[in-house]
Amino acid sequence: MEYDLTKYIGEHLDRHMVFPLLEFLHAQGIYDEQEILKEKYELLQRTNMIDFAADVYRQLTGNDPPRELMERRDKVVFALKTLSLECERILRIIEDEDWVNKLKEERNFHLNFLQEHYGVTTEDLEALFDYARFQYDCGNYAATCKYLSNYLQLQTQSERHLSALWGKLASDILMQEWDAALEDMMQLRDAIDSQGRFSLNPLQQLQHRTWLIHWSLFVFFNHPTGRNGIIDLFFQDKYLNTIQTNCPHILRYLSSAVITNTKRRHMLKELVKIVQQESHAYHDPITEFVECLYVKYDFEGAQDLLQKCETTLKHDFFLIGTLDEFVENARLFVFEIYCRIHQVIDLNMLAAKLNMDRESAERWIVNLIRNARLDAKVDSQASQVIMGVKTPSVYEQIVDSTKGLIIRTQVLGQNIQIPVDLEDSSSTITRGRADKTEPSWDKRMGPSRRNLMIS
Amino acid sequence: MTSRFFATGDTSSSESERSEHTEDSFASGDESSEIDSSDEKKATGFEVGQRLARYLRDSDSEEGEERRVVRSARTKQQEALLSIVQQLKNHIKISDWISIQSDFDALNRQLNKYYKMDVLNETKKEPPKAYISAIVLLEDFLNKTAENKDKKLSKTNTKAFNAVKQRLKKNNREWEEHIRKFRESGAIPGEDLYEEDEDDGAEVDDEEQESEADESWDDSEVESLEEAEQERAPTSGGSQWLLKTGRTSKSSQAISHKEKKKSKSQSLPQSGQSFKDTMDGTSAAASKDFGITEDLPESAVDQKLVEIIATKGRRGTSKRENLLQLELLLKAAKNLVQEMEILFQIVSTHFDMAPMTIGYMSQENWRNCVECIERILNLAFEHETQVRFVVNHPSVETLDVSVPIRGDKPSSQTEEPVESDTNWDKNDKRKMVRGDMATVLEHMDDDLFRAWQGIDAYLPEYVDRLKDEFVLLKLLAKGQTYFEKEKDLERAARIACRRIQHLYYKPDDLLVGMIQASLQKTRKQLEGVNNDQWSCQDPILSGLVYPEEETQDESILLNVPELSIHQRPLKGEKALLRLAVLVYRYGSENLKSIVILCQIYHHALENRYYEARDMLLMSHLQESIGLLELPLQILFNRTMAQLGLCAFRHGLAQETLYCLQELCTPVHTGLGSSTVARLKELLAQGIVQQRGHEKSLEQERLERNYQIPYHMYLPVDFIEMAHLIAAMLVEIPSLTRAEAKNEAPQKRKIYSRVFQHFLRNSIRQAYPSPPENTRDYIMSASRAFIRGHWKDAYQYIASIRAWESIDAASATSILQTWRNLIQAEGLRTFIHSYASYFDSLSVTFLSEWFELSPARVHSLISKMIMNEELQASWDQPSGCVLIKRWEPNRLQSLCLQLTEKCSQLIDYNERLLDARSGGQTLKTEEREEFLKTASHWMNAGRKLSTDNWGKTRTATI
Repeated sequence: MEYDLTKYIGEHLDRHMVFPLLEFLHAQGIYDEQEILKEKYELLQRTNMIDFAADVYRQLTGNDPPRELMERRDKVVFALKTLSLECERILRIIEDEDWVNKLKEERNFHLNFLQEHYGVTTEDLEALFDYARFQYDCGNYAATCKYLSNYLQLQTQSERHLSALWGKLASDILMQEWDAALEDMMQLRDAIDSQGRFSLNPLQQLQHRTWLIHWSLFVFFNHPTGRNGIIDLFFQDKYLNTIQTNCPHILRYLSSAVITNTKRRHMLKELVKIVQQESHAYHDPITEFVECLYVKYDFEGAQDLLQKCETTLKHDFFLIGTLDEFVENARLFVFEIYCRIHQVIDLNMLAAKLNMDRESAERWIVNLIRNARLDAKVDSQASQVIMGVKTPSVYEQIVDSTKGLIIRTQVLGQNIQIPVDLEDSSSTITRGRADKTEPSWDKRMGPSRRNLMIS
Repeated sequence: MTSRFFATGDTSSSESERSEHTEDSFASGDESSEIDSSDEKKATGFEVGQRLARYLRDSDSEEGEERRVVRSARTKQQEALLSIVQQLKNHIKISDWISIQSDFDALNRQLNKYYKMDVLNETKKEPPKAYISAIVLLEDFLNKTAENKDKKLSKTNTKAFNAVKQRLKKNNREWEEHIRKFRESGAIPGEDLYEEDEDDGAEVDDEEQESEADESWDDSEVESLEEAEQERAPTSGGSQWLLKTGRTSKSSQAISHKEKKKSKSQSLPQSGQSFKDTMDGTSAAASKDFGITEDLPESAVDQKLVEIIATKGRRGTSKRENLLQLELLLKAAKNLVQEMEILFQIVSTHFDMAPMTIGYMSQENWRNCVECIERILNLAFEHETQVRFVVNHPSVETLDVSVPIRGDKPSSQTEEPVESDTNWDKNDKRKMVRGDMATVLEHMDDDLFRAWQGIDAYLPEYVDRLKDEFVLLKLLAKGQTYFEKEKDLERAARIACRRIQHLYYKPDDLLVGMIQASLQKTRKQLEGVNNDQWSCQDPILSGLVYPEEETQDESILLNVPELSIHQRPLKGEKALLRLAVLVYRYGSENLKSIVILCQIYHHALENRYYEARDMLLMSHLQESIGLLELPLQILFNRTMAQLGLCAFRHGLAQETLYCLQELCTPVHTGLGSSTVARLKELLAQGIVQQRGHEKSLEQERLERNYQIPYHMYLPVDFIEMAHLIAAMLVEIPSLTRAEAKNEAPQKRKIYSRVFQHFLRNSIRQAYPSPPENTRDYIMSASRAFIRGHWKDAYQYIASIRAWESIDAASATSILQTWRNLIQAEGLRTFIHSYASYFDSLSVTFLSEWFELSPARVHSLISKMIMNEELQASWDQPSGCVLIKRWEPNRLQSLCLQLTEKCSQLIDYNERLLDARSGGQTLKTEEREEFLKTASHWMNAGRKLSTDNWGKTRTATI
């Protein structure tokens, strides 16, 4: 499979999160089943999910699992017990939800209070963290989630706060608690971006962001509002940089999110810019489709690519759910652009381009016209669509050219009144103006050229 | 220059190194620290005086009479001297080292005066007893202070103390004889200063006797005497030292005495050169003269070495002679350490032999050096477990020489006397050889570089020297392997950086070829000798023979994740990458910058534009390059030029322009200024005299030092052409577009000012002449281009001579790429310029006219429509573009004019305010000037289009 990204994405995921991906590949049947099973077994070897591993082993070979595995199982059980004993004091409180709720109501659910009244120490909390971590390794995500959320509430100073956040996100994702996961993600994002708290150096920040980007795919493509979220998050400068430097393959998800999202149309321009910039580093049918449509205006090519997109989407774990939406919206995009540059369009040709028969194409267009999304008329006899002619209005032109005058005059007036601030404000004006016209590549090329542009 | 070589050395010892260096090459006067030069002057002055006096005494018989006349003046001098000594004594009592230092200076000054007078009077050569007594006093006190170090001195005091210590040590060598005598006489230092007049005559006699004795001494006698002295040496800490150093200086004096005798006996006014020649010829005789025979005992060899070093750089000793002595000594070397150290000395003597005027060694010398270094390295490899190089031994605090020598005794009293043949480190049981191999290797590299700079590139000699690069690379590889083995990775990184600088500008084929050739050679060697284990362990060589998997961490380190994910690096690049990784890990910041630039250059050279660009952007060098040192800036310019060429080869007009713009912009955009001259200057490819800007001699010398050797030149003409072609393709469509839309010229974005300037000048010409140079050709092309004659434009461009500077195959492929671009941009230009004269344009017509496929025409025009460059829409059934035209009525056009005027008013107001603020005036002037030129261009362009179409268009304003 040419455009399968599992390999690249897997690099940046937690071990446990790769299982769903593998399951999906298994179901797709594009890879050898044995190979996938083997891979799965390898993965399980490094976790503590012994029973699962044993199952897979049976599937793989048909024999009973080796003895070491069973021995390890005992060890794991023993370790689990030891760890739970170590944090018994805090565990006792947490397990009793009424108690916790009561404490929370009294606003006493914090370390100081617990320390005073129940003798809970920081060591206990750290032990709780270890216990949660072990539970996670055993595949007991619900417990992990519960312990970690308590840990996060009680322990705010620890070095391991960040790790705990990651752990919670992972277990939420694996339990498919999308709302909670979304919340965790936002917390994580703030934690990574805030410089002081965890003192990450830029390289670490980059790494953490790369992880976050990959993990968030689970959330964004499953959460109802995820499609907006992905655009809002990934188009932030920091994340865009991360995508460009570390994982250009994420552009596929970004592109499809933009295309399927009808509310974030204005991001299209940004998207086209990035896709164009990174086309040397990464391309697949989806990004190529965007490029074809918005850079080359090659409608035939876009048509071909749309078909390729379908097959690609079908084999993508995250995007399979958005397939229909994607095709529909892509079609709309093609048509919209087509209409914008044409005055008269042949209906038959249009139908062919849209992959529809003539009747339904006509109906589709009529619907569009009726919903006032299209200024056009259908000439049924000649089977043509005639677009409304937009003449550039003088009024608009005048409004446009006088729009800035007021602000500029205001600035002038201010400058005259306060001669001290004069230099500052006038220089900001020039700078602002220059920035608007600058392409992003230019910005990266260094300051000297920028000066040239300003002057 | 040599100072550069030293500057790259260890920072900790650089200060002392430099001072030593100035002493060595005193004549260069490079940067002389005060101490040394004054010392030197004094010493040489003394020597001259001595010699003069001797000669004159032989001939002159009237000395007695004259002496009497001088007496009174002399007493005055002595009184002055005595007062200084008195002061010194006082200061010693309160141990005020700062004052002592100045007293010491005064003392020496006084002594100089004293001798000057002697020279005039053609007599005396004995130092005043007061002086000797003073320095002995000072020395004793110095030793005492050094012994009880725990008694803390203040910071300034310590500084002064150290200065005095070093200078005194040097100073006292001259007076060794007298000090010894003084001590033996048992006089109390600082006392009995007033009787020297009586002693005077007697001492002269003494001296004379001694010099006679010198003459009669056989060399073996010298040795035996010295050894005897050593046994006799008093046990008190301080004087032991004095005696040892004293001995050396004495015997070196003995040698110089003998030389003088010899030249005298020949009694011909021979030039030094012919004298040396005879020395060379009769090496056996010479060896006897130098007292060097192969059966010298171990300790004697050491001493001899020290002697030779002591004479080094002094006036009156020739370097060639030194070399000869060293070579003889090499045969006598008894153990490994000696051999290596002598070899080091030979190398450094070779370095010194480079003539000052040209600054590099002859090829023969250079090759000799290579041999020596190779020998040292081989020895080091063979006896890896026994020896190692030491640059700065912690227990040795001497004036560190660049290639120091073990025998150089430290002056500090706290240290125990070191055994004469071996230094034992407590942790490492290996013998230490002092010498910085990395620095030596770097110097070799620098020297070759200077040779390339200095030799005319059209001489066969240049080619000869080019062949040396291969030898050098082998040597460097060997050195690097050694340091890697020694785990001295910083030095390995330094050498790796040098290697990269020899590799980066070569295309992959050449690189791989070179490495393979070296591999074959080493294989051949391997058959004969078995000690070549290093050659196969060289990471580069082995990396190529047994291609290994690229390790992940390397690419992470490089910050180029694309490398690991998307494509495997090629062979030559891999070699470069390995070296680069070493530098990235262990090199200094400066080296890292050099290496990253080299890598970018190499990427660009190999047409990997995006890798190169990404690396450049991630290095963030472009932000700070102006602050870095000159060679780095030149490298940066070269890299940018190569990146631009790479973009040009890929057919990326905009990017080419961005990369080359700064390089190709002359400082003054006058008519006479040439882009080529500017380019040459920025790339350090030849010195350019600029009009109206005279360079000082110093400036020119500096510039000459940074010149790039001929074989590394970038094709300047080609770069200029690439820049102008790219500028044409970017600038002209934007120009015609602005014109078509009637945009105000100041609103238009300017891509290349230089191009605009040239174009304006070209269009201004009433009768354009046939093109002569690159610029003319492109201007002719541009004129054709504006008119929509893309074929003519292409013809002009294809006939530029600069294309011949690259090979034909790549030239045609690049031309093809640019032909496509010219077609596409030609279409755009045409539509911008003439769309207003059409109602509709058919795709077939356009595709025939521009030789583009209908689909491409469609896509290009669609793009223009979408970007609102063209008010038009497609008529799909007929395949035509319908141009929308819209003529405003009277009221509307008046309205438009009004708004235009309004915004102009605001513009003027803003400018007024700017002018008043003062800070912005410059910018305003600039803008005004630009506005003027731009409007002129608009008029010119309009005239052009009307001329061709015979129609007039209504200008809105």
